[in-house]
Amino acid sequence: VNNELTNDTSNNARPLWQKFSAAIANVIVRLWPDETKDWGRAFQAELTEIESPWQSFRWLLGGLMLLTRERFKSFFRSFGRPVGIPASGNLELITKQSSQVPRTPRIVTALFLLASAAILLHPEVRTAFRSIARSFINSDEETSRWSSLHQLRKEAESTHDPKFLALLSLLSTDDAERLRLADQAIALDPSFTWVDYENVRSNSSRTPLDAKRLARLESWDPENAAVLLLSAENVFESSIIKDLTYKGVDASLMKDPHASEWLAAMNRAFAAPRYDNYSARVDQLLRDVSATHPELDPDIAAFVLPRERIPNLWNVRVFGQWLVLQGKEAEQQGDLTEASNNYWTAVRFSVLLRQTNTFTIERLIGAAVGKDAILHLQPLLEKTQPRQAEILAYPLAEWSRIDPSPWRDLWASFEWSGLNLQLAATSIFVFAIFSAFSMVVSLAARRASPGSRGALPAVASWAIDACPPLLFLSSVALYFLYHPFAQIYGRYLHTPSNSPSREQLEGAVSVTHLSLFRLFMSGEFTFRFWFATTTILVLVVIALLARMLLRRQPTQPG
Amino acid sequence: MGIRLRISPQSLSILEALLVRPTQWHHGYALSQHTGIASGTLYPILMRLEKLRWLETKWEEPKNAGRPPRHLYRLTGNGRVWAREELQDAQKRKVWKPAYSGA
Repeated sequence: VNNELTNDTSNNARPLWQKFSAAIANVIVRLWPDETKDWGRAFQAELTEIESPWQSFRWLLGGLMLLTRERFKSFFRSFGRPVGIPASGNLELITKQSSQVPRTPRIVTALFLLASAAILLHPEVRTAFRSIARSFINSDEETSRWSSLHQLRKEAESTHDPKFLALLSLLSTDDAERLRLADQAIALDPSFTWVDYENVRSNSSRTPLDAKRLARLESWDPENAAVLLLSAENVFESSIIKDLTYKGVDASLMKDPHASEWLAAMNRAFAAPRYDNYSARVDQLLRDVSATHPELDPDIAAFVLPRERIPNLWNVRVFGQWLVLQGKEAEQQGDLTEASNNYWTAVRFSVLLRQTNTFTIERLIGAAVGKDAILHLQPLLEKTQPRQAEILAYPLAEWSRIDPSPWRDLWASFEWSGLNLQLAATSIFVFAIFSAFSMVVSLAARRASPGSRGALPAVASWAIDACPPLLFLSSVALYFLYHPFAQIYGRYLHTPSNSPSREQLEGAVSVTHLSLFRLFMSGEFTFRFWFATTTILVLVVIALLARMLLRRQPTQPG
Repeated sequence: MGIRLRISPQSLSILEALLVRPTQWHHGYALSQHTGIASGTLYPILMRLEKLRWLETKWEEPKNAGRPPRHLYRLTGNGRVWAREELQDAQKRKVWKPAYSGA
């Protein structure tokens, strides 16, 4: 049916209003949706029979209402069509007979994409995705690249808030900057002097504090065993005691010219009345800054917490062994009081490390030193003070219960979750790209008949059916995988009284930073088995899909 | 009774007009003139009647050169039966009065 009014010779003879009505009717029909265009033409054809301008106007007005109604209906009907399928033609036949077109109604595709977007906009998911992306591009070790820290730097420069300066010092990977920021924070508020304790890093790039800083820290907190251990560690690290004690502690230790200096420093540390590793102050600083800068969570914690200083295990252990050795020698010489004093010094220090705010590794160091000393002290006390010997059985039993294996199991579960989080994030990235790509290709190919479409639209038609639901599932998986860790971090930040254990917290903030490669290389059998199984399954799926696409014979509808 | 139509007074008027000469084909504008129903209301009713298979449609061969073909409408066999039932029912319920004696 011809949809245009034919221009004939009589056209010129028509009055102006008729020409005008015909032009409007033409526009109406042109804008009419394809699937009901015949009704538009039916409406238009009647216009030629109307001889009154007023009637013609009314007819056109009704046509405009009809057009609006049909456009609305067409818009809602389009939700039922897959992306890239035109409105005209037998949709059912096309989608049933051809394997070259998408089959999922676009409303379903749109709902999957909208639901995925809603999940991806959730703060927890955004945090997880950002952290994982950062671990992928490996910039989590280099905080100067963090865009989220730029604002904090600016604020610190303008407000000179010691909290911000202290945190930036902890976050800095540049030694000179780290110390400069610490100095600024301490100058503004001396209660931040503890930051220098953290400036001795526990990682491989250990930087000993210079004498001036050490003196400042010791004079600020003179009764803290953790601080006093720093001086001893400096001597220990720079002397040959380490080498001399490689096969065990004996009197050869005294050959080192620094031995007496080290022993004096260790004696001071072991005699100190308290042990504070300042982890509570680190926690408070993170809470204070997070309260005003939530965009930094949990990356700042993931950077700062695992880098908190822990004492040199060997240094403490060697001194513990030295005390036991001295005690045994005193026993042999019959000086039981001296022997007992040596053992007690070790036990007292171990008891200091039993505090709740110490790390598991610190408690393990304490247990190692304490158990050794108690085993020698108990027989001595049984002869003179049996009651005290009995009391010592209590810490001995407690130390024996400190088992690092649950901690290892906890980390294994974090690594497992980290692996799944990385896979979910990777899936989101891949499926989002494929969804967008397939939609563009399908829309570009919408004018081509299903049978004449090339290989690319065929792949896109498969992708547009499969990727949005997979994107949705990956987003849901990322949310549910990360949610427990977000809760742990939330408890740490907002309910200090119900704060999670240190290991749980470190796992929760680091879980998104675990590199797949590192996990594979350092993982246990289960990881490698899982990797291998997943890889094989993915390859099988790819092979099946490729075969399916190659075998697809385009069929013309009808 | 076939598929029920959502009956409005306008639908009943159109059914009545189509039943005046039920075997003849009707033009859209003529139906609008006889019933006084504007095109914006007339065509949605015709479209619905066709979808429910009460109405059959065809394109008229152009009588004059330069004129587009016009769309024609008439009730199907079942459509006529169902239309009469609807009109009688509406009349009994006093929701509609016939305008033509032939209905």
